[in-house]
Amino acid sequence: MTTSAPPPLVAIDDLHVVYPPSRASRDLAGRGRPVRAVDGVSIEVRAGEVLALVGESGSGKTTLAMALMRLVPATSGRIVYRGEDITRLVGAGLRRLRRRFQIVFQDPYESLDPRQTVGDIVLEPLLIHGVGATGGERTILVTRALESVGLTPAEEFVGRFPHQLSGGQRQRVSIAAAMILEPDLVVADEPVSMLDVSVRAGILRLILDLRAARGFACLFITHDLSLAWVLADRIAVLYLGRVVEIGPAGSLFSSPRHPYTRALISVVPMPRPGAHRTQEILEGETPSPASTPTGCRFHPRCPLRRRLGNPEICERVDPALEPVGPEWAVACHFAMEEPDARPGA
Amino acid sequence: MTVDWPGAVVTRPVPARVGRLRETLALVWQDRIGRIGLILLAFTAVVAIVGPIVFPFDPTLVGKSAADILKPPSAAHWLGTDELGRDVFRSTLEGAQLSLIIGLVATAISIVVGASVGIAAGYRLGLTDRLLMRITDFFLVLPTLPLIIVLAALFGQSTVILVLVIGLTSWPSTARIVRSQVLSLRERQFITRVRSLGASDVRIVRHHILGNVLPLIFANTVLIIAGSILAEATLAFLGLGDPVHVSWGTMLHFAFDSGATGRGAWWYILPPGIGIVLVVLGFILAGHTLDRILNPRLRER
Amino acid sequence: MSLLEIDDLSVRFPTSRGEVRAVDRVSFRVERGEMLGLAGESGCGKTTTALAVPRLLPDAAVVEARRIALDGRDLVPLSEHEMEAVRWRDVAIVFQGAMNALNPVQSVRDQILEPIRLHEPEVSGAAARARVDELLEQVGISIRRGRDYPHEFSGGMRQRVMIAMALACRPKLLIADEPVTALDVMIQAQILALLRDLRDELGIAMILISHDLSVIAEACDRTVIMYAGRVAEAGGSGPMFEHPAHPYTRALIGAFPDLTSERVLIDGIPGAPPDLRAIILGCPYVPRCPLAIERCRVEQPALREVGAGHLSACHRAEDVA
Repeated sequence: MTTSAPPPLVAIDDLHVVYPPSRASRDLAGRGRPVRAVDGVSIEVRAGEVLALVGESGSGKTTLAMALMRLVPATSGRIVYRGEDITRLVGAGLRRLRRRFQIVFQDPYESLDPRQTVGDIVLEPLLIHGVGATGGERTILVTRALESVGLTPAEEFVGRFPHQLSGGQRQRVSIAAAMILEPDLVVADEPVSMLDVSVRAGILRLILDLRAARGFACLFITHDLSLAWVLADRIAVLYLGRVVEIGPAGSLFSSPRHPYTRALISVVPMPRPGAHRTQEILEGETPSPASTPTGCRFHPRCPLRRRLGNPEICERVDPALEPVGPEWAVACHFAMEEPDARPGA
Repeated sequence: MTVDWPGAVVTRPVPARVGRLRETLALVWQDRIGRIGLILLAFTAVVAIVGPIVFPFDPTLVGKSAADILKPPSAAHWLGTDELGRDVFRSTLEGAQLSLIIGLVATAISIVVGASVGIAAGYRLGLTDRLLMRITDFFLVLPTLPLIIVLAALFGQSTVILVLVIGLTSWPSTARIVRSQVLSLRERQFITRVRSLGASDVRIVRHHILGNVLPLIFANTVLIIAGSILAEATLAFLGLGDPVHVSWGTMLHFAFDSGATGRGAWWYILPPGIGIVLVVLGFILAGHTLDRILNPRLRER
Repeated sequence: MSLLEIDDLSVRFPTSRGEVRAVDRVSFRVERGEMLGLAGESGCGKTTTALAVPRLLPDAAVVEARRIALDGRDLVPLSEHEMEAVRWRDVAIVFQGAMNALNPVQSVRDQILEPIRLHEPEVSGAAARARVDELLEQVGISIRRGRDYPHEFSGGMRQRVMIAMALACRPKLLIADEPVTALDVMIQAQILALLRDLRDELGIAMILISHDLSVIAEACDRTVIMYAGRVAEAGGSGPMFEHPAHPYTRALIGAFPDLTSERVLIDGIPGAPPDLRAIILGCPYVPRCPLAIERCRVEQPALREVGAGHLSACHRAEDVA
């Protein structure tokens, strides 16, 4: 990345999140393979940007975000926020951090306490952090938060319970609760994947509008590449706990450098596929994070490696993320081969 | 997939905050079995509260002669007399009060201790959990009878000992039920979300865990009460109750002790026996319905 | 003669708060060897419609149809006993989320064996087992793994097992309800390719139900779009998505990002589907339709031909493009 760029909001340095082997997977001697959910990720989140974390199950994208949010302990590595190392922050410091980082979850039904009213849910962050000197002040903040997410008139929604709202409305409540403390970073974990298709656009538009108005950075986790393409400034593609490619959304999609990215993009279903699109359907499945392949973790399924005659280096050496352009990095020994292969029509 | 229409049938549980008790009672009433239970309980409550006021029992009012002992029901004594010539009807009413009080107080101890242990163990996990669960196991296997005999030998027989023993031996089951509910609750996404906001453990337990566990505790309480009343009756019957005060259990004890069975004095044995059955049945039936109301909705997730 | 002809199918469900018209006079055909997509959002009636064919709806459902003909034979007047012979041997289903409902204590091969034993008891044990091996190969599972249990398989593999189970009795028609919804995009592509290959190899027709229009567009030759229990539009997938003839289809397409065109945010559809308990006069899409005119409110649009093999239930179908 260029040296004249402003310092990132959050810098993640060689982060590892490793879980001990599950009891079921251990052999009779009690040995088992640990699950390397996040296996060495170094990434930056810039202020105000939308960074999409894209990957399939087992990629570690959710674990990475949860580690960033300090909801899951990091095994090793550093997370630096505004120059401060927050990796092992506890107590009052951690609580202060929790004002700045917010998360919106995937399941509109599960992420709200069924016994709390909408008003309570949006008020709670204020109570936890002692924001608002009087009840009246807090009511104003809650009202404003609800209106900012489109739940107007606020008075109508304040007394309702989650089960009285639709899925889209519930997500708006979650977003309002996340907005009310004016965070620097909002993690959105598949915020629309459980909503009806016709409702998704409204929620996405809301997130983008709020981001434009308030300037927070958004870490958008999704398995749906087409959404990432539409929303993100930059996209990071994860595979088995590693970033394999990270770059500007538009360029990454038009000419992906990493064979996994390329294959992934080629199979994204589209409403108007076009007659001559070739899909690169990979064989097999993503291996379990408990048995990461040696060398490049993608090598057993890599179509590029096959095309190049199975070069040894792919099996032996784990490629690091190397820049291939401005703001663009790829972890592949042969990233510069086939630079103009384009997926899609 | 979600159903996002205005008229959609939503099958999620409906936990209104205000008047929840009233609403739950109404639901229990609607169920035929629950209704019978509630009626039995209401009846017993009235009897126990009002009875001894309207028909007070004087334990010193013993019979004048041998002929007054174990007399069958008559106009003077609606349920006959006991082995000391005292009115059985009035002693039954008096006994109702004590039996119920013992049952309720023991249950209160049991529920408070059990729920606290269950929540602490289920939420904190780790060492706290293991420690508390070992303690729970200890109390779980504690035999009631030997315990009360030992305590009675040490401190004498009294209502307090009785209540303590029943309470101390019945809380483990509550603790385990509550703990397993808390275990599943703490993994729910809304708890994670609230934790991500920076809520303290205390706050989470008070505002989010407790409320969601209370229905379960409530249903469990009702059953514990039934068990406690039965326990009191059993222990008192065996002679380990408070000899000074009248309870249904002690009535049964003295009834058998004085040979009332041999003499066919059914009026002495049946009232306390039926009283126990009706109360316990009332709680069981109401509890059964409560369980059905609260659990399927919890299970609907 | 089409393989499946559904004429005027209606399904009503009595509920405590009124009767729900889940499916309202739906008609369409499935040709031999064709992959038909049944698309629409949740609650539009697509699953109910498909399950009506093998008569697998709950007892409470009131099903009325002029004709449901499979390979020329009308299924409507058949008795339950006769329907049992139709299920799995002529029509088989991969239910939504069924891959998570496999029996955890039975090996995968035994579970694929079961439909053969139940529906074709005359087949010998050895022949049945041989067929199971063949099926495993056809769905891309190595025969050795037949002995394994469902929890030892990933989601995608379990779905292949479900497909093998559905094909066990060599049906003429396979109904797949949201077969790839819960799967990763690469596995999704694998399963869709598998379905296409099976269709080519075995010559069976398929109905693919999905709310994901892009999946339908990729996999299906023809598509039927449903809204509020009715057919909104039907026709060849390619031409229909290129030039939709119903405002709902157009809006639905707009809700899926198109990687081939410029990067714009997707559009939503304001409002919500109607309450199916109410009797809807006119077109059910009116409250959300940008093209609605007075006629739409009072006169229910009939499904009419607007192009070769292209049908639309819209008074203003010509104005949609």
